Parts: sequence; structure tokens; C-alpha cells
Amino acid sequence: MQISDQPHTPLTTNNQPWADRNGFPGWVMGLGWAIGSFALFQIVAGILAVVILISTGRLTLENFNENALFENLDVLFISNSIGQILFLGILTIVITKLSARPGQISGFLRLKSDSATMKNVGLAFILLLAIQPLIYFFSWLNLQFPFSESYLAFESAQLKILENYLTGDHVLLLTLFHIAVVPAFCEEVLFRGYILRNFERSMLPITAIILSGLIFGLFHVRLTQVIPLALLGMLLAWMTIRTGSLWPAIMAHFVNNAGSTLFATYFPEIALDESLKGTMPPLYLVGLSIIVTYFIIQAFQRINAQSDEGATYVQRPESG
Amino acid sequence: MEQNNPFISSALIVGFIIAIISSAASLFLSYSVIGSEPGTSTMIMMSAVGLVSCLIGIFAGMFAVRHHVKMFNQPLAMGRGAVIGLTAGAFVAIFATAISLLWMLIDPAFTDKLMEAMVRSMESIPGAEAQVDAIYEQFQSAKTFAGQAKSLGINLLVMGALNAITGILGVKFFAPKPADTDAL
Repeated sequence: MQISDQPHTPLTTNNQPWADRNGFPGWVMGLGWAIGSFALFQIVAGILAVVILISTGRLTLENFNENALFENLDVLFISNSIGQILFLGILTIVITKLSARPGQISGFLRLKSDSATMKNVGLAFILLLAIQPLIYFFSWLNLQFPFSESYLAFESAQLKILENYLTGDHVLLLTLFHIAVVPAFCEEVLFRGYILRNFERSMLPITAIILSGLIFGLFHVRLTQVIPLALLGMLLAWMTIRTGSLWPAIMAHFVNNAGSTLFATYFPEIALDESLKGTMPPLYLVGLSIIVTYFIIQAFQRINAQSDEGATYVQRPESG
Repeated sequence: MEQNNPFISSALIVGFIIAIISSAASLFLSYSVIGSEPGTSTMIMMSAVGLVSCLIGIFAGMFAVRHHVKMFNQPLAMGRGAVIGLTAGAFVAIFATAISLLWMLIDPAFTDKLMEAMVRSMESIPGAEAQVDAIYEQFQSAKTFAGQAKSLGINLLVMGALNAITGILGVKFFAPKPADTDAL
């Protein structure tokens, strides 16, 4: 079954998406671009960072060392943002042309709004604040896995450098742009826009939500955070399908990243030093978080029950 | 007319054969490293191990499509070729990992001998002492379950993605055009 914002328009070979005409299943398109965008992003952002470092004289070929990037976080942020905007954002929108019918890219990516969108965005904002203790609980759970000492030392060293940066004389608005604005938009376009939508064409929505969430967790290449990131990805995917719009997920992603940045800027000794020590958050706080999250999810269900835009996209898997 | 014929047997057979060839080439080069004198050339040979096995592995998708086309003689969509290639690539990764685990039982000292050969070579290169610890760590990690699982995961992704591309190329090279089969 085709995904369309104009369900009554008959599909002909001419207006069929390229992927359908050439027999590419949705999961291949989604998985393929997840791997492709990751590789392009890592390679180009890495090369760009080295070029910036060399051209500004901060790194020479004689004193080249692999930690230079982490010692120049401003350059890391700039190259990272450029890579994200180019490959996770712009190129994903271009690639969407292969999977969407002509003129329906924004509909395919769910970059649209209706009367319920503002309410959904507001709820997403509250949800991400309320769910923080639960996310912290899963971070603690993740840390109970046996990681090698060398890996933990590596992550710890990275956090120390980040702490120095955030407690230094950085421009907060610029940092928020790099850490919160760019990933919120670009990663959502990629994961909840392109990948989730393609997965929905090949499998049940619940499977698409779980798989896209797992890919989101692994994409960040931070082993100590895979579980909370994957669960967060699944929640954002559910939110996108339920509301039929990407904007609530973009807002939620922004709140999560901006909240972490602000917390680490103003309370670095708590936010960064404790993050690898694995202290379990108070259980009453986790319980409270679960209850509030449950009620917010119910509110999402009520708001979207009328138009039920999300249900429009609940499809059967493609045959064959 | 294009049909979605079953392709698992093609992917399985070709994936298995390619994994055996790739593993044999990898083992041959690894034993050459173990038997050679320490030096830069040994390090070059060691880096060729991964390159050669990868180069052999990426043809699984193309040959799996060829096998499938020989079986059914039907036109094939590019997307179908990508799926066949991706599956064949996944089988290559799984079988190659299984063969490397099996080789640990056949020659339990293999990993240690290879590590010692690499360390000796690295120590013979001036200024490369810092890399020795990295080699030790890499080999220690490869012995653990987590290390093997990580290696399998990376191989699945890389082999799957590359063979999806060669599977598409396989469709271009080997699949009959709709007119060809209509004429039959």
C-alpha cells in the first residue's frame, strides 16, 4: 500500500515514487540511508574539522594527534553542525524525492501542521521535562553493563573536556545552536521523518518504531547511553505517528538537548561529574515521572483522537 | 513480467562460498604475516588482510543475483537485487565470523601468534611504540564475546550495505530485460 497525502489520487507508473518503480522496499531505503548518511556525516565532518584545524594553525601535520578534535570543541561543534545540516538535513530531504510522490516531500516527512499541532508541541515540551528522571534511570541501568576500564576512561576524558568548555567563556546561544537546534531538526528529519516513514511502508508501525529507535540509539556511538537514547527514539517515533506531524518530536528533541546543555552549563559539577558514576536516581522521582508521563501520553491520545491523523498512517506491510 | 521469486537459497549458497574464499585468503595472508620477518612490509601485508577479504566479500551480492537469475530467468527490479545482495552480504558476515571462531578451535595459538608478529613488526618501526598497546587491546577485545559481537555487527552493516550496491550492479549485468523473457 502506498503512503499518500492524497489517498484518492490513483497511482500510475508516472507518479509512483522512484523507489516503488524500481522495487526498493521501504526498509531497504530507510536502512540504506541510515548507514549512508552516517558514513558521509562521519567522514565529511572529520575531514572538515581537520581542514579547519590545519588552516587556523591549531594543528600541523608534524604534531597531528587524534585527540586534537576534543581539545578544540568549537571546531568539533562547527564541523559537526555543517555535517548534520548537509547530510542529515538537506541531503535527506533530497533523498526523500526517491521515496515520495512528486510534490509530496513535506507530506512524506510529516513536516506539516494543523490545528492540533501547537497543542502537541506544547505537550511534547512538558513530556520531555517530565520524563527526565526516567531517562536518567535508564542511563543508570545502561551503566550497569560491564564496560572496559579503557572505554569508560575514554568517555570520561571526553566529558571532562566538555565540562571545561561549558564552564569556560563559551557563547551560550551558539552552543545551544550546535547542540540543540541543529540536531533537533536534522536528526528528526532523518530518523522520524525519513527512516520511520520508510520503515512503516514495509512493516507494522510498532516494529518501525522499535527499529528506528534502536538505530537512533546506535547512531550516537555512545555505548553508555544506548538504552536511554533508543527508548527516547522510540518515544519520539510514537509521538510522530500518533500526531501525524514531525514538529512535536523536533520540540521534544530540542528540549532534551537544550535542557542538558543548560543544566551542564549552570550545574556542571552535578551534570557531568555524576553522569559516569552510575548513581541510581531516587525511585520516588522515577515513579512520579512514570505517572506524569502516562497522563501526558493520555493527553496526546485525546488531542489526536478527533482528527486521528496518526491512524491514517497505520498501514499493512507491503506484500512480497 | 517481474516476480518476487524466493532468493534465500541463492544468498545462502553464494554467501557461504564467498565467506569460505574470503576466510581462506585472510588466513593465508595472516599466516604469511606470522612467518615473515618483522618490518614495514609485514604491517602492509597485515593491512592487506582486511582489504582483500573485504574485496572478495563485496562480490557476494552480484553473484547471488546471478545465481538467482540463472534459477528463474526472470527480469529483476533493482530493489530486489539490493535485497538479495544485502542478504548475501549478511550471510558472508555471519559465515566468516563462524569460520574465524572455528579456526580458534583448530589452531588455538593463531591469535596470539598473529598478535606477537604484529607487535614485533610495530616495535621494529621507529616512533610506533605507542601503537603496541593499541594492538594488545584490539586482540584482547577480539577474544571476548562482546568483541566478537561488535565485530559481527560492524561486518553485517558494512557487508550488507556494500553487497546491496553490488546486488544492484548484478541486476544491471545479469538480469534479463523484460523484452528478453517475453521473446522466450
